Amino acid sequence: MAELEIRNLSFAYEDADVLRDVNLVLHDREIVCILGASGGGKTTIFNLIAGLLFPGEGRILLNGRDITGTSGQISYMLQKDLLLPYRTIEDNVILPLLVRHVSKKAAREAASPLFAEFGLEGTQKKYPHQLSGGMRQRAAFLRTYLFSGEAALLDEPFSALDTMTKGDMHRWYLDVMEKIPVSTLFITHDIDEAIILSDRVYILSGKPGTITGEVKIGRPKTERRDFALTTEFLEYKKQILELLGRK
Amino acid sequence: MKRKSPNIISKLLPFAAVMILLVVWQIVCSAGLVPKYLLPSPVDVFKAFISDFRLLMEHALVTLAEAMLGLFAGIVVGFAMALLMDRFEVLYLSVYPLIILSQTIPTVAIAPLLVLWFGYEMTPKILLIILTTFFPITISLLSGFRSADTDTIRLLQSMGADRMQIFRYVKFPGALPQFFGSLRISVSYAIVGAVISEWLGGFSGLGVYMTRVKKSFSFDKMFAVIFLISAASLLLMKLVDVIQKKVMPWEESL
Repeated sequence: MAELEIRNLSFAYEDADVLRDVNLVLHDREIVCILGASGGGKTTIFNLIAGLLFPGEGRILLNGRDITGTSGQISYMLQKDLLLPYRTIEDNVILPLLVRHVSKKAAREAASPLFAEFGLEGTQKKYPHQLSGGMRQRAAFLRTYLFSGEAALLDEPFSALDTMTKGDMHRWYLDVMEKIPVSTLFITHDIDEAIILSDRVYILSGKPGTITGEVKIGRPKTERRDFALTTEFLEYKKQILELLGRK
Repeated sequence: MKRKSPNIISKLLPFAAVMILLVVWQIVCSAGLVPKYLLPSPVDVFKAFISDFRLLMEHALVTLAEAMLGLFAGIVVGFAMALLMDRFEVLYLSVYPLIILSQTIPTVAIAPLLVLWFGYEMTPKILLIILTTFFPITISLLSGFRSADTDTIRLLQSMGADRMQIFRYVKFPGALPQFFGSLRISVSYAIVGAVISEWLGGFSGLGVYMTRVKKSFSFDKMFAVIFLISAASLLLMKLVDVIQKKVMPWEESL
């Protein structure tokens, strides 16, 4: 059970306001997307939620508890897989547990059943460079999941992959989330990706950035295969483009 | 398979070059182009090496012991320096230029001073080796620590990792390739440092042996000891390679 709430969040760097009065909610087991142009402050929101930055104003609540400015609460996956080249896949994914002072043995035991779940059987003792881009990304997802099985922040998790792999990864990701649901907030600038993966889409725009719209995607996540080829999908896309002021 | 033959050739080439050099050298000496007391032939050098083998090994043991002790201390000092300068920007800004400056002072100029201050025993020799070996270690480790990927650090911070954990999981393993690169340099510095310090005072070691045979104009023995020192340095560098492969198994599969 995890519910994340962001209230009246504002942030400014010395010379410029980045975010003003951002409000959003992530309900339990939801996948919610923040969609916006590059440089619009999306990553700043994540850095604030992850506790790497402290907001000028506003509060961040996880299950009603104030976690503003504290790290280690919500798992965070950055754009690149950031697997450490000198650690085996197994030792990479257990890193969040090691940081929490779990013993290596216990951490490996905790991770071991999840390798099958994430389609990573047999990669335990391999090094990251021996895996394909898609597999590395899965390993990064597993690491994120071991960080927190409750709530996750994904910063453009599929942007580094080629189009074919990306489509596969989208399907794979929805399957995994069906089996082991994690409340997820993710960032993208790819409208199609936002519609395919999310329960709801927040539009972030303006300078300083603020939430200017919200679109609920009605179709159940179990019926998202070939969703992109439907008129329903195009309707959502039109709606989002209007909200982005591109039409 | 295709690439195998050029590989073997490229490995044999340096060996062949050395052989040719030795043959030319032997011919020059045998033909009497250079007087024997100025340049002994390779065969003479080899004979000298065999006849003095036991003595050479005794001295080599002392030199190696000094070099290893000094190198080990140099690594410790270099590591500590890099760690502190990475942690405290003030230290980096103030001490780094001093360290660079210290390297402009020629070793042969400090060595006699060290002997003057600390006598003819081990201490000045170890100190000199520390002075010559810590520098490459410090510089390489520091640049390794400072070039750690900021996104990776951010990821670990988001996990709630403290400074020590970031060092342990990101900065230290990330700096290992640079460290081994510099260790290879420092190993040969350590041997040369030990020999130089022995020239200037001491009771045993290859440097002492060198000064003795030089005074008795036994140039064949002089060359024998030079070759021995080179061989020792090369072997130790190879040893560093072996250790690196053991410590960094992920490089193997690259």
